[in-house]
Amino acid sequence: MSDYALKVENLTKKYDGFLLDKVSFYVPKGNIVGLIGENGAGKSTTINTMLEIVQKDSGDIYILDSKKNKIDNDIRERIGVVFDGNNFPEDLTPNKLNNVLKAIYKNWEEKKFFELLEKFSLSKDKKIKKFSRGMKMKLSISVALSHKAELLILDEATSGLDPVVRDDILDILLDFVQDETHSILISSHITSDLEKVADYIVFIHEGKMIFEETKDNLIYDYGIMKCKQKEFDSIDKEDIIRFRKMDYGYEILVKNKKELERKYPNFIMDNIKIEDIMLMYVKGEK
Amino acid sequence: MKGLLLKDFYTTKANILVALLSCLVMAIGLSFVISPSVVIILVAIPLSMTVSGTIISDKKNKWTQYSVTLPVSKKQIISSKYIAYLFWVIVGLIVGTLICLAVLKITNTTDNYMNIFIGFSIIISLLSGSIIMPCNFVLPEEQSIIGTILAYSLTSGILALSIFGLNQIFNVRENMNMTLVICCIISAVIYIISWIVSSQKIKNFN
Repeated sequence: MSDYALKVENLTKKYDGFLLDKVSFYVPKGNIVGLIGENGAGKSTTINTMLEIVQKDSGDIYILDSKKNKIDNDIRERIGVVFDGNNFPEDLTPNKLNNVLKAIYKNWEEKKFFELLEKFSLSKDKKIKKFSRGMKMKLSISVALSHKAELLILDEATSGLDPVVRDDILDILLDFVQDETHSILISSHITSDLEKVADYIVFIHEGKMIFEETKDNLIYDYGIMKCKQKEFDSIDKEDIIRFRKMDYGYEILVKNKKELERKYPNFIMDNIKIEDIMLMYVKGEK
Repeated sequence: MKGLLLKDFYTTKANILVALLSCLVMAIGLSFVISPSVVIILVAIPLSMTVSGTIISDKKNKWTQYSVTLPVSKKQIISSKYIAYLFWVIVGLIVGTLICLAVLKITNTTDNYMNIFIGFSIIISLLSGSIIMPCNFVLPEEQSIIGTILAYSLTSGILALSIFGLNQIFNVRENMNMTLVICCIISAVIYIISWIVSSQKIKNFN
């Protein structure tokens, strides 16, 4: 038995004008991994190629205990997937959807599905097209949690939802990983959501993987150093990950925050949020 | 596979009823002008078309993408559409034939064209299905009309070519039943080839 739920190695996919370039990361069992990046960075492409919705050009993917590059129906039984927006035919009702999925999943748990619908106050007999966006997401999550999935893959599952619904969904995810054999990969550009729940963060920018770090490392190890032009010139270039020239001076993304605080005692060192790191990578200079 | 077919049954049911009712009204009217057998073709083709339409709606509501994550193979996803299509062709033929027989009984008339219309229903349904289904899978939903145009243009072309070819071997007019049987076999073979090729070649479901 491996200690990861998902391992991606050198995943490459080329589209006209876009290259997902040798992306590698893994999702340890019992953890939540957040996949971040701006719109068009390659998060959905990563997920779609991983799930074989589109064919990859090269790279290896291991899901749960699958052999190299082989996702068969047994593995799919153990994965729950939630895409952004609606996932199901809108003319169906949850009741009919239950009949459809009961005939597809060997491990379908009808009782649990209806319990989740009740918990989320979703009508069994209302057509899906009459559901709000939040209700559709809750329905998708109910499905993902009703067939004994061990790995949940969520692609922008919280985008476009109000904070209350987002918080409900995050609670469900945290509840899911209470079982240490359960794991989650969640892509989002709402980094505050991931700050609440993720154990690891994978950052993809323009099709390239920038880093995979534990969330705590990012928050405690990275920082934003602020200084004037003169001071900026005195900084060792290897200490600078990215910098931005602002009206009042410079903002510099740095690693080893504590060490650099000692090295540059006169500089202001601010704590950082994941969003700041993303912004520095996207908008900053190297 | 059973679940996929059930899903298609649920999603086409409402459309089938609407299609059936509108075809019935049109067909019964036309049956007095042309021939009662015209009902068969006017019921069988629209019914089967509702299945190829689900490929487009599945793309719109992301079911196509989602279905790849379910414990069914891509071959099964594609095969379920071909099976559902065949099912509705058969239902259309049966319903159309029953209506035709009812009209003949009510009007106390006979119709010598029934075999021709049954034959043409099978040929046109299978030929157009074998083109329109892979097109709907491969083309973006906004270009689905291209698949429909292509399907009916190619269907006419293949049919004309087949009849022209057969006419070189025997007199088609004098051997209409044999012509229809051969054309039905050609259509069935093309449908099966389309099914096999689509199952093997269509890999991207996004």
